Amino acid sequence: MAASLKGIDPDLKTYLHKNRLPDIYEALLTGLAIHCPEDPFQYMIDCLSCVQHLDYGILQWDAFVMENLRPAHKSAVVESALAHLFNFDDSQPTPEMVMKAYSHYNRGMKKLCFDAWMRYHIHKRRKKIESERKLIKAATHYAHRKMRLTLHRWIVWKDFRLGRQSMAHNIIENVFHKSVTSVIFGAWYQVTLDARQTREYFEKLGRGEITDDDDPFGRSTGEARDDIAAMDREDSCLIFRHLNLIDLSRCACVCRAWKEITEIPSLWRRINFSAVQKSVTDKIACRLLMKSRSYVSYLNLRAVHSVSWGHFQGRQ
Amino acid sequence: MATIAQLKGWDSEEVFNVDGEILNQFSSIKELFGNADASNSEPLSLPNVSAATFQKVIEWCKHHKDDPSLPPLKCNKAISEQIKDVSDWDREFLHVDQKTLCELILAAGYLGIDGLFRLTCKTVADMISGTTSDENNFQH
Repeated sequence: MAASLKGIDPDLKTYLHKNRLPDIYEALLTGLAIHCPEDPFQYMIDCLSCVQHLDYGILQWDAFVMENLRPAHKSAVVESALAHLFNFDDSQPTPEMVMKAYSHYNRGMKKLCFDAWMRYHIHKRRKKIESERKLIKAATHYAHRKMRLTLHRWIVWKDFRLGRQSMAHNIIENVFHKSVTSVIFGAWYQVTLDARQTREYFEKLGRGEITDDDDPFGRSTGEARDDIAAMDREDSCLIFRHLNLIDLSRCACVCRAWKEITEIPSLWRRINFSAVQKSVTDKIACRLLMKSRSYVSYLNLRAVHSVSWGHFQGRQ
Repeated sequence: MATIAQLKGWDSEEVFNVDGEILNQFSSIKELFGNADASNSEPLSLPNVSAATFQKVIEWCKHHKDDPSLPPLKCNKAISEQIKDVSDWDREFLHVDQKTLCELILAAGYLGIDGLFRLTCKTVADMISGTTSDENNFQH
């Protein structure tokens, strides 16, 4: 009903408003709803005749309701629901009002537009700042990525270089070791050759194949004048049997002839470490015993504390 | 006792008359003479012994002619247990230079005089012991 009344003719609207017809209808309907009379038409006729004598200006919506049935607290509603429904206040606007309304509307629209533009601008600026921030971040990220990539490549390169270096180092070391080994081997070979020649020479000398006349060292060893060396081996052996191990060792250092005498087996049948107890070490004892193991028949180790039993166990 | 052997050193014509007691101590050559009287035969020349050394040998043999015969040396016993200490007379007798001492050893070894040989060997060994190898080389 409200929708149908919205678009009604403004003249009809003015007519309805002028005669206050909606108020009368409202008051009539209210009275009918409250009293529920036996004969509604008679009631309506009575009411309408009442209205004819009353001024339009004072007709309330509860004008046809009895005094005792009216609500105690009247609401502040002045305009009736029907008046609102018929929208009687909307009188035809004047051109000034229209202009005002237009300008108001225009201003409102302008404000809206400005607000929207402002929001858009702020949004844009924010977006720009955001994008700049993101750009910086992206640039940083890119730089980091680049750096990481470069670092990674560098690490790979470094590993490769290190591998190459260590490989080269190994090769050089290998070559070095081989060359050192070959040098050592050559030197050892030379030493062995020399030793063999020396040994052969001394063996020849010992067999008497070389006389002192063709002494390769160009000097006399003086052995011919050595009286003890010139004696029979048995005789010189008797002299050396008086000596203890230390003196015997010293005599072995004197000359070759004396060394041969000290190697006579009968000197080594008896080994008395006790007489030279302070000078005996494990090494000396071991060496002497190893050398004379096939001759020795008497061994005196009394008070020789410097020789440990464990050493001998280890040699077995 | 009568002279049963006439001996001389290789370096001199001086003849030494050796009686039986002394000859008995020359264990290696006494068999050459036996019990025959050799006073008329040619003096025997000793190839390894000089006259001076032979003089010393005879001097020692005269002093020690009453000594009991020595038991043979055994290898399995310590040498110091088998050879007695040197007496004062012997020490004085052997107070000579090294050359003489070595000739005495050679002579004693050649003539087979066990007592003198052992004595001289011990003396030389005493000289060797306690010296360094360089000193030994110098001495000999």
